[in-house]
Amino acid sequence: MARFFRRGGPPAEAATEPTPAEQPVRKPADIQPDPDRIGIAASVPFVRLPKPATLFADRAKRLKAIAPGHPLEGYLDLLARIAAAQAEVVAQRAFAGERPLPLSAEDVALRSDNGMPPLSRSLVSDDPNFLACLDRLLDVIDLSGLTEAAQLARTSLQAAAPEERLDLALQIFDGAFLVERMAECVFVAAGLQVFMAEQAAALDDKVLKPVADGVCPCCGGAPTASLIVAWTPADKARYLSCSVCNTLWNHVRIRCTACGSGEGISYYGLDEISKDVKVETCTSCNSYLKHFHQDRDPAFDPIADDVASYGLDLKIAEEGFRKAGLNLLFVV
Amino acid sequence: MNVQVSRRGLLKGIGVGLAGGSLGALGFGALEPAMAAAVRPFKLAQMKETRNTCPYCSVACGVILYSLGDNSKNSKSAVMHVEGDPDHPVNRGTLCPKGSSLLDFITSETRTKYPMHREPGSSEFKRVSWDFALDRIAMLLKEDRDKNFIAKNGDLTVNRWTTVGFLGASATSSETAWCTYKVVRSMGALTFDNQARV
Repeated sequence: MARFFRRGGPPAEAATEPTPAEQPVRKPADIQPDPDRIGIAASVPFVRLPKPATLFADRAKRLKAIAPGHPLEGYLDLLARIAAAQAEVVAQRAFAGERPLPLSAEDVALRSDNGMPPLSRSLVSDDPNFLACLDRLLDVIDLSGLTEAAQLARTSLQAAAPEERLDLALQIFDGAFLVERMAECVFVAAGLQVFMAEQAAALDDKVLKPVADGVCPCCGGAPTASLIVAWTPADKARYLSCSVCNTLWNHVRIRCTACGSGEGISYYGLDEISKDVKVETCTSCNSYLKHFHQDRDPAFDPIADDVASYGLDLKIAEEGFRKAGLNLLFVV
Repeated sequence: MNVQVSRRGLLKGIGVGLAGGSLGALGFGALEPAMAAAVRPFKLAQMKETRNTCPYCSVACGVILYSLGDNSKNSKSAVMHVEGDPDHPVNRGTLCPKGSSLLDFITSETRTKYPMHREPGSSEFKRVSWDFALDRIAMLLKEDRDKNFIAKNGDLTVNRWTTVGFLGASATSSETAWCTYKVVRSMGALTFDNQARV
């Protein structure tokens, strides 16, 4: 076969080419596209699993960068400290060799065959690692000079019984927040994110299959925001970021992330502030999700910039749209 | 599955005096009015993204048309950017130079937007109605077919009409292409291309 696109290397020796008789018979089904020749993949990767080692440190950096002068500076500063603590917990756990209990391959296969994501809430309750992880987080987080409410939430969580903390975590996993314990929920959610990101990172991305529209294929969580990415095999494709385990999964562009409808999709933004932060609205289900153009600004972080663009939430709520995403560290 | 989270509605609904969800609970409740005040002077700009197919060649790459405006009475929508569709299996977001310049094609001053007619002997095109154009085309086709249709080649029935050709467009759907094929072929026309190479 003629090589139209060669990429360096020694020229092909004519003598080494097998004669037609020697060539193995290839069935049409065996012939796969060979996209390497033109440098573009035939399909985009379905998921990108989180890398806890850098994820939280990068988030902390982003939060610190956008906080100064922002109307929500105090809260962004708190989140930067939480993200820094999350990064510290990941490092400490790696050093101490603490790891979530491994999943059995049969269990993952069974769940996948039945259209379920491999990670479930039972992992949180069955694994003593989660509470250890939360304890570490509460210990390392630096709340000096912060509000009394934040300090109080930390101390009352530290004093709470393990079952109580576990119960809070399970409720957050299900997307329910106890109104009277909102402050504690933020810290528990932060611990949950570390634990679930470690769990998701240990998965094999080849076994993951789509579960449903707007549902994380790893843990079944809701998305925080939608990102237009600029990675080489997926340039300008859209990925949703999971609020719980921080997995990124592919979702076709211009299609509602909540109801799957492709009709009535619009993008709203405050162009005077940033052209790269938008909300994707759907008139079929009247919901919206934040939409960040990471291809134009690679620094965007789904959680940090979701908080930073809270003004857009306030504006779009006036138009009658409801938020379809969830930010565990910023429940409104 | 529809994941709807509207804690604000929930908080209001049960009448708990906790403003601002996480913000209020952690003692940052005062920041919310500040945030609202900061964005109050700004206006939401609406933008639409629409999938389409590049009309140039038979590869039929997917494109996304970016347009401003919301179809409301006092604003006129306009396409302001064209880009390859990254989800389209044919081109995965890439476009050739012709496809990349589609915006100029859309905004071109010389673009034909209506049926135009230049009478025999006249030197300029005049705008005409669709009815006039379709009637005129049908009549010319019929005249030509009546004159040049070949029903028999010796004893063999051939029913061919070789003096007229038909050009379809690559951006048509399979259904449109099927209909075009049926109409053109049923008249006996042989010169027919449904994947324009323009």
